[in-house]
Amino acid sequence: MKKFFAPFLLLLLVATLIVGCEKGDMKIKKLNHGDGTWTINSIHYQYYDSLGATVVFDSTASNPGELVVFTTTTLNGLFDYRLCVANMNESGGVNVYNCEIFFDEARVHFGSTVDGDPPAELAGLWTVNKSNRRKQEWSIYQLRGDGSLAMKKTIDLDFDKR
Amino acid sequence: MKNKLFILLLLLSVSYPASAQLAFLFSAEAGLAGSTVKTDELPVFLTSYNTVNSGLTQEFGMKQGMAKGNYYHFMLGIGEKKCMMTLGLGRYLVTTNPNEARYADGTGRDISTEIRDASTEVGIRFQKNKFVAGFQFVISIRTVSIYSEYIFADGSKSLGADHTLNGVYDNFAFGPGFGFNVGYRLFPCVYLVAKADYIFRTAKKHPEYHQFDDLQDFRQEQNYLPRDLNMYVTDPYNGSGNSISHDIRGLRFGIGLQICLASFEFEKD
Repeated sequence: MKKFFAPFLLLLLVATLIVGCEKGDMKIKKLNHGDGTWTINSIHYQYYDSLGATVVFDSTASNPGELVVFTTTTLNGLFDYRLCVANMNESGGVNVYNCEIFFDEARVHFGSTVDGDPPAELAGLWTVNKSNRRKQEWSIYQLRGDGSLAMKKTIDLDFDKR
Repeated sequence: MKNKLFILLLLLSVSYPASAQLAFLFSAEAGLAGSTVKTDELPVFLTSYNTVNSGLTQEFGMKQGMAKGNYYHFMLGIGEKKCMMTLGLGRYLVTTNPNEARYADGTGRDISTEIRDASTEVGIRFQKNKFVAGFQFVISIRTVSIYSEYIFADGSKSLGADHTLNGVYDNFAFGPGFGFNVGYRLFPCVYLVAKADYIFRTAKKHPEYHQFDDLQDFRQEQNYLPRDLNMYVTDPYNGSGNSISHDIRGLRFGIGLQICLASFEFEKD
């Protein structure tokens, strides 16, 4: 009797584990599929009044650069960080930044590696507003000392088909 | 006793005697899913939040509402055509609507719960004419993520580092369950199916193994959802077990289309 049920129950357990296996790298694949190059269409800055309720000034930086996300993990691979390179169009030409990126479809975080730091425009923990394989939109917020919203920065990216 | 009864019923279901004519069935199924979210732990955090933030014009509700989403499922059946043993593998993804707390100026916090089930199901399926019905025992790996978002006055949502409670807090646990399914054959290989399973909680004795954590590298402390928000500030490293645990259980159900990918019968020697 035991001989009959043991393989079956073992199969059941193995099947449960296989089906239940959470693939941590599945989400980051949305960013590094293909050649993993994203064009940063724009970075939109919105500055708020002292109550943090109304936008008093806004500006947009068009075509600020591109972001290349690699499949290679960094030393922070335990936390699902991948190597990334940001080619930013800055005064004087294109500057290259080596950094690492975390992406879980809800948040994006740019971190530093031994090879460098992320550009100031991208550094920090972003909230994902829109996430699909061809388009991404992320926001990050800056507060005043009293906790009111001072600035909202929104980045808009398109997957580059090259 | 409950565990012994569960194992007994499981063994009875898999030991159904095969007849002289063996039938095999392999099917794929997908559809809409829903789940009730029964929890005693999350309301502890929500109550503490409501108490500490006394100026709220809209407090967190204690009921989490219905989680809605979708599922897909594969099933292998073996036995007689009219009565076969089934082994199913399924994934369910359901999310609740945000539970909202707001101040008069529109700022506040949203809490929503996402349940991701990876289920293995063993059961018996009966078929008569165009109708099928059955029951199944379920072992589910239930991963739950609680999204805690700050809401700004203009409606923008943040999971970022601007507020400490922001985060995606995860945990998983095994969840045994039991349920039934019914179906109606629409076309020769296509069934309309409805199913319901009650997923029980486990690990009652060791809630400390199932704390909701946001264990990311960018969070150094306060990476948990607290039972007591005041203690969360005074003892940020959670030295005193001040975190809520995964105890989410409830009735999970689905309605979808089942397509038989392979079905054949042959005579046994």
